[in-house]
Amino acid sequence: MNGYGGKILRVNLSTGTLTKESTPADLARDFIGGRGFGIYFLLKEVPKGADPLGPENKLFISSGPISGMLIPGGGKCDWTTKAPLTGGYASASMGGHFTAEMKYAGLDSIILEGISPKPVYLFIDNDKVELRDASDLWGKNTFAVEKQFKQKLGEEYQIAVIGPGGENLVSYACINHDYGRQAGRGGVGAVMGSKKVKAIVIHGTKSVPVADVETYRKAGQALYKACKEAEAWKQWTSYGTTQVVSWCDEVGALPTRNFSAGTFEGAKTLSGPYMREHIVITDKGCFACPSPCGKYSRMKKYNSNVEGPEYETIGLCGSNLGIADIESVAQANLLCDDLGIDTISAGNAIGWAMECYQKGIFTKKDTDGLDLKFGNVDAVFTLIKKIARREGLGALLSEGVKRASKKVGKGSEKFAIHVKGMEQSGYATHNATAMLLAYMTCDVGAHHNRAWAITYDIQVGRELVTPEKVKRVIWLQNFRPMFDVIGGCRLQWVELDIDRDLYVPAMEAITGIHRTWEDLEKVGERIWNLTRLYWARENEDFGRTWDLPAPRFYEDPPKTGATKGQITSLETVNKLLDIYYEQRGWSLDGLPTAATIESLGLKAVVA
Amino acid sequence: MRLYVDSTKCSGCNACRVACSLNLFSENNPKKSALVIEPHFPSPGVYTVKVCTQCGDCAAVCPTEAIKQDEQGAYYVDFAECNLCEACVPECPEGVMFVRAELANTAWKCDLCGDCVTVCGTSALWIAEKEPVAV
Amino acid sequence: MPATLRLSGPLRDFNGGQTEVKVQAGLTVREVLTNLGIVPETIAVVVVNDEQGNKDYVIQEGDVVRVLAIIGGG
Repeated sequence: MNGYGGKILRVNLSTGTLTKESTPADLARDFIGGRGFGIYFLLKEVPKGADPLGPENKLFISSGPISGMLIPGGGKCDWTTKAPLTGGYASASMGGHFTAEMKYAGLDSIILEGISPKPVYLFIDNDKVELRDASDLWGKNTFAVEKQFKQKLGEEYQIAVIGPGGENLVSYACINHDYGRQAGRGGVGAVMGSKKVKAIVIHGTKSVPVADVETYRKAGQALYKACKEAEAWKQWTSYGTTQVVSWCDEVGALPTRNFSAGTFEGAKTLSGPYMREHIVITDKGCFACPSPCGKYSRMKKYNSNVEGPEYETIGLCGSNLGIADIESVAQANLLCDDLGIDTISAGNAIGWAMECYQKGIFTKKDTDGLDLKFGNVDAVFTLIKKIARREGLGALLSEGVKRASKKVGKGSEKFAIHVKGMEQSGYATHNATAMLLAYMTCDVGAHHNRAWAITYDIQVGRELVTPEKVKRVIWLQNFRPMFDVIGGCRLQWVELDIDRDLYVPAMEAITGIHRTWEDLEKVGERIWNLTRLYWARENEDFGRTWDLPAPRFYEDPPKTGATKGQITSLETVNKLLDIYYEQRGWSLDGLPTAATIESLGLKAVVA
Repeated sequence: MRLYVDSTKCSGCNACRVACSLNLFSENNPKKSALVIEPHFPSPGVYTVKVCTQCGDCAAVCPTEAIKQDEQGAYYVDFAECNLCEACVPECPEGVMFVRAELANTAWKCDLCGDCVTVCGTSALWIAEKEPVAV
Repeated sequence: MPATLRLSGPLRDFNGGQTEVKVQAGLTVREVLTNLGIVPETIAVVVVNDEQGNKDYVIQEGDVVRVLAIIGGG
């Protein structure tokens, strides 16, 4: 099948059996790949009510048709599962080179099922697939394990590995790859850990079949030309996502001290240009990317290196914790990566704990003696390690802020900044209704990557609630995640503003199938409804209350900064949802109606 | 003319190697490419890239005269003439002479097509006159 | 020699689809943007003659000023 690896590898960890099946043509036609395959498998194969950390849950790893190809951004693979963090849908998109290697090994999806009796790693070398003993690797940090595999097997192998975080089933444990890329959110690393899979090591030497090689070469080269000539190329490639730190600070979107404000007095030393000048050594990129956003850094103070920090980590582990020193943020980033926990959820959870301490809800007895003040760098480092090991306060924080605040009570739930149990990522939304709605309705929880709408808020009026704003959020939600479906990165379109129609002839030349972006957005809309139905299936009381944002954003105006005194209201929150549900074809409680399911052709899938 | 590289600009993306395999073999398979990217991570955290300098040492030892020069003077492998003897491989000072029998029944090398330069986002690669001093 | 303003991506919509617009020296970047109908707060980055600048910079003759909107972070 042109553009595809051709096979799905099924790994039954309980029995130790590995089987391959051909990727069905109609699956590729209707769900395309990546995240599309993920939700299809999740609905069909993980039974309702499965324990995310139990034997019935599965981990679906999928590449897409542009993965491994001469297409800018062809370097992403999707990791889909039932989320330990939220009990709902999890999908994490991992960059680097792993997805390309899947295609070269002839694989579109790898499915991990069951639970292994002993720690293992999955070894793939073209058609040779084996489970191998990982007992001497269990307990080790991710960087050391990746290095060990690279030295033993060679640099052509691509490695995905969990750290102690995943082994210890931290709710937001991640999976690491290429010394700096992650399948980050929702606890995908904990699912891998629950299955006792330490790593996947993969190598392939097959060529990917292509429908029309010459047209593909020309179309691919045209995409590279467009990226290189983009007006924004230099700025974007110099700073990556850190380019928005200063701007977010100016407009009150930089999460500060547990999202109590959106402007941070220390933002200058967290900015993109400051960071580049002081710690960046290499622009490190994912597969086939002409605009590498990875900033590989050296922290002299700590004698260490890390890929990062990028904007999210600067926000959540920097300003959100009252830390202004970029080297310390980079070190926090490294600790999280090496131990295998998501920097966003970890930074958010630590910020919550710091506010508990500030308010006297925690005393030093609760913090294992740590003086958990905002700005205490050493306490942050200690707490990251405790979270990964689930020790002391770390055990509570490892459950995520929704569960932790429920256990602690005393009003701490009011400032647990999450939606659906996923910690909010790097944008403070006291007064930015489109971005707030984006967080409220994102299909994995409070994550920004589906619909990034802050600039739009500023452009048209941040407090406005209009059908146009909602329409914009919906369009972004149908469109942006399609990059996850085709196996690539959205940031060339997002940051360089290249003409997205340039992808169309390239994809057609690869797969032999003509798809416009309108066609892809229709697939996006279908997937959006399927993930919504998944949440509803798994949670009895799922509905509007699950879409509500943290109370902070409708009760607690910042006392400082660009959004001082500004706040949304609960009435506005519900009005946003009213308009959103209507435009989506959902009920007043936020569930896809029978008519919508029918009109999107989804009846068979959700039967 | 020859290919040059500034490794400090390399991001490790491998677009060059995909473009190269498409040129040499009309296949999408960066393992069948003629440049080498060596990652050095986690420390010091840089990539080093090896490219063909068009020195001609490979051609000098080829017993079947399979390595020829085109109109621009660039050395390339005539796939039909190669017998996989591998005499060329150790001669290459940059390690960019390739024989992998499981991937192709011929040796292969850079033919100076320039597609890698076209797709390199960071402009780490360029083609220019050969200079007297070897890089 | 007038100054040049270069617009990235979607900002071109405010200039009839064109990247470049000639601007008067003596105005701030902020004023020039407002005259074009662009809300200055949507501009994340100002680069003046290849160096980091800001929206309050007073444009000089012959300057090349690049402004970038942020369409998406991540």
